[in-house]
Order: sequence, then C-alpha cells, then structure tokens
Amino acid sequence: MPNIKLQSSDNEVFAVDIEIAKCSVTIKTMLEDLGVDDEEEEVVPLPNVNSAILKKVIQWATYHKDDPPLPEDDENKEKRTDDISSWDADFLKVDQGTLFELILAANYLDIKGLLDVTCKTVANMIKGKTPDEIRKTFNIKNDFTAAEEDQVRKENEWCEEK
Amino acid sequence: MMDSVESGIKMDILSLPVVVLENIFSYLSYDEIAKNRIVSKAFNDICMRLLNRGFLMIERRHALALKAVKTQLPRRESERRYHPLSRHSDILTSLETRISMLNMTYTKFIDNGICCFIPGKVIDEIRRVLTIVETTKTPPRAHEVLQELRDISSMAIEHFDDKISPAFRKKLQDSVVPPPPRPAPGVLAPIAIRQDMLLIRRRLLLNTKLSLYLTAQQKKFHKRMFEYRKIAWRQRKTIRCLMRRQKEQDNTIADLRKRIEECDIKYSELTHTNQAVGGKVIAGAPGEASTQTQPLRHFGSQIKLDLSVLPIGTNKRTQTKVLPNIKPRKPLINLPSLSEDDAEPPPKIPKIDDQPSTSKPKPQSTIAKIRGIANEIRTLTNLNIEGKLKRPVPLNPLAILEVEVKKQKLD
Repeated sequence: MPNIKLQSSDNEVFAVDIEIAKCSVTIKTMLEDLGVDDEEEEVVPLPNVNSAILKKVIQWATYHKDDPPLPEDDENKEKRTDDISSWDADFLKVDQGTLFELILAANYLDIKGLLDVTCKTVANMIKGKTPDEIRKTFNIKNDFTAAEEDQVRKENEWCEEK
Repeated sequence: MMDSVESGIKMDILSLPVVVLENIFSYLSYDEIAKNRIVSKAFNDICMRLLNRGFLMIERRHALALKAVKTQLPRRESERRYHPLSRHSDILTSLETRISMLNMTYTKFIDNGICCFIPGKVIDEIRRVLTIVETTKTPPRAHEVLQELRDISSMAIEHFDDKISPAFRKKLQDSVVPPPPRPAPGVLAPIAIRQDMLLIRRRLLLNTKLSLYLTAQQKKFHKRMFEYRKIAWRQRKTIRCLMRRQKEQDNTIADLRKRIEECDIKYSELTHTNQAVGGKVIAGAPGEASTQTQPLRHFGSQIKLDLSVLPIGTNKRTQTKVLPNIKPRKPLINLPSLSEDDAEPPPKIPKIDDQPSTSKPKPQSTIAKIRGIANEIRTLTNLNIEGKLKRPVPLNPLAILEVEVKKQKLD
C-alpha cells in the first residue's frame, strides 16, 4: 500500500497509508491540488499537530478507515450526543487537555468524524450541569461583575416556577 | 498547541476557536445554552450569539414550512378545511403569530446589541412543534401542540416587558439620542470632531423636519382618502337612484306601448267600419262626382291619417278598388315632419280638379250637393278624430247613416 509521510510539529515522521491519511480533508485536498505522486516519498509537515496527538489521530483514522461517509449536517435536526460508539468512548477517555488538542487537530485536519465525536464528548461534559459545576469542570473563572451577573440572572428568571 | 502538552500547560476550553465552541454548544438545547450564559463572559458571548442565531433559524424554518404547506393547500377556504394539510396549516399559522409576538418583543433590542433572544426554551419548543409539523402526517390539533409554547412564550414576553425592557428602553434612548455636546468655550475638542458633531446636529434637524413633513403628508393623504371614500359613496347612491328611475321609465314606456297598440287596434276597427259603410254608399251611387279627397290629417295627434282608404272619393281607382268586401288597408301612422305638414300632398290621392275628365258629366246642382255632403262627412270625421285624439274610435255611425240618407234622397 502506498504510504504518505506526515511530520508532526516536533519533527516526528509518521508513515501512513494514503487512504487513511485521506480521512483528513485537508491532506486529501492538498494531495489532489499538488498532485503528489504515490511513488514519491515526500514528507507532509503538520506544524499545528504534535506527535502525541498525531499518533492518536492516526489511530482513530485507522480504526474508522472503512466508515461510510458521514451525512451532511441538518441544521433543523436535533443533534444527539448519546450515539458515541464504545470504542470512541474508550479512545476519548483522556485528560481534558488532550481532548481539546484532539478537537483542534481534528478541526485543523478537517476530520469531521473525529471532530463530531470529540465535540459530543465535551458537550456531554457540559450537559446537565449547573453553571457552577461547569466552571469547576473546565476550571473557568467567573469574570462577571456583580451587576452583570445579576442582569443575566434577572433575564433568565422568566422560566422559574413560582 | 502541541507545545502546551509538552510543556505541561493545560489547555483551556475557552482557548478553543469560537467555531469549535459553537460546534460543541450546538449539541446542547437552547434552554441549556441560555442557562449557561452565566458561566463566564466568554460563555455569555457565545451563548448570546447562538440564541440569536437560533431564533433567526426557526423563523426561517417556519417561513419555509408555511410556504410549503400553503402551496399545497387549495385556494378555497371551504376546501382547505377538509384537506389533509389543514392541521399543519393551522399550527403553522398560530406559530406565526407567536413568532411575530416574540419578534416584536425582542428584535429591537437584539438589533441594537443590548440583549439576545433570552428565552432559549421557547426556541426549543418552536423547534419541537416544527418537527411535529414536518414529520407527522396527521399532527394533533393546534391548541394541543401549541399549549406549552403559548404558556412559555407568554411568560417570557411578560417577564421581559415588565422586568427587563424598561431598563433597556432607557439605555436605548440614551444611546440613540445623545445629549448634544456643547464644548465649553475654551475647552476645545479637535476641530474634526466638532465638525462631525455639527454635521450630525444638522442631520438631526433635517430628519426632524423630514419626519414632521411626512407626518403632515400622511395626514393630508388620510384626509383625501376619506373624501374620496365619501364621494364614492355619494356616487354609488346616485347610481342606485338612476337605476331606480330607469326602471320606472321602462315601466312607463311599456305601458305607453301597450296603449298605442290598443289605439292601433281600435283605429283599424274604425277603418273597417268606415269601409263597410262607404262600400254601401258607393254601391248606392256609383259614378258620382268625387268630392274633396284630401287625406284627413290631425297634426296635434302626431298621427297622419290616410283617408284615401275610405270610400269617400269618386275617382275611378276608388270605384274599382273599394268594394264592400274589400280588406281594410293598414292604417298609416307616420311621425309628423315639417316638410310633410307644409307641402307634401299624398301622391296617390288626386284632387278634384285633376279628374273631371274621368268622372261622368253631372248637372252642376247635383255636384254641388254631393260636395256639400262630402264636406259634412269630412267635418264629422274630423270632429270624431279630434275628440278622441289618443283613442281613436270608429266614426260616428249616426253621421254615416245621415250621409247615406242624404245620398239616397239625392238619388
């Protein structure tokens, strides 16, 4: 199988099957636009992805290489977050930093499947939590002034049952 | 980013690009998005943007759904009721009202960037209703589906109107009409700014004038429209009156026509009787000299009577044609004309002077007598016709009898 060499930001080179690499729309478009020959052993630099993350991305792409193409997003349809496969769930049992890095990498490499599943995972971390819990989960500082916070709270009071 | 892992700096959720954050939030319901506004300023910004976009999206989605349903519905309202899409249409129409109410409440402030579409739960509910309309063939009745939406949207609007909007209005007024800054003499703002302010003030003045002018124009148009409406009403009334009059006139004309027909019938009867009587007279005195045979005319009646049909004349044609069993000629009714009245003598009726050669020579005294009788007949006929101008009756039979008797005496 023809391989393509991907170089991470920390200069580690990964030899990947072209078909797997083409999971990334960015790489696919690059190969199509530049007309890179299969025989050539050129290295594709990926300055925005480090080796740890690139490794994970290649792992994910290899597992999902035979997946059918994802349907187009329907804005009107409510998006589900409970349809993450167990493999993906296990794969994404990582620390928050890695998860966000994966999201960034998926966004940069334009891998829709990976981006969706990582975003769903983060969404699940937000769902059902109070604002305070969310702050704690993601280590977010409440930077509202008292008046601003009061205003937002007042605006959201409309649906509180008496 | 990779450096952060390597260097041990933990990556924060808020360091993700906005597009990614919006993607993450798109997996949450709008109610959750609204509630998460309070987490932090960054969260608030993203959530506000998503809420506004969410409201715009449901507005568009609703408009498309309504259009799609309306194109499939029949034009007639009576047929619409029994159409399978009638419930869809009902729901979407009610939804339209709700959406426009929400629009009126929030849009002004959203456009000015003062607030966002606060009630995220309402967006969720509208989405739910729209999904039902789009996916179900026979959705429940409008009031059942929209019950929750009515409740929560009213709650949201009321709360906003009572508690939130007054402060916003004040804010809006303050920001829209800034107090004209008058730099104190000596305290000089940069010239460019001062010029800008001057320009703005001038524009403000112009806008005020324009708005005043437009108000006046609108009032004028309104007044004129009222006047036109009044005129149209008056004209409609006149038309109705004229139509009534026309109807009356039609009736009168019909009546008159009937009467004229009656007159015709009576006149022809009269003519017939005259012929019968005249026939006898001629049979009694054949070849007598003709008297004046000018047609009897009565100009006042507007009817010209052609008495040549009467067997009064003694010319040859009359003698040969008029027999007791002859059919009466159709009475001639002509509209009077000046030329006719002035000069036109009836061409078929010869004057006495024209035909002495055709009549047999008679002694002068007999001719004079016959003339006298003929004159009498004429006078009598004239009298009869004059007396019954519009209702011609047969000539007085007594007069005819008299003539007959006189003729017999002469013989």
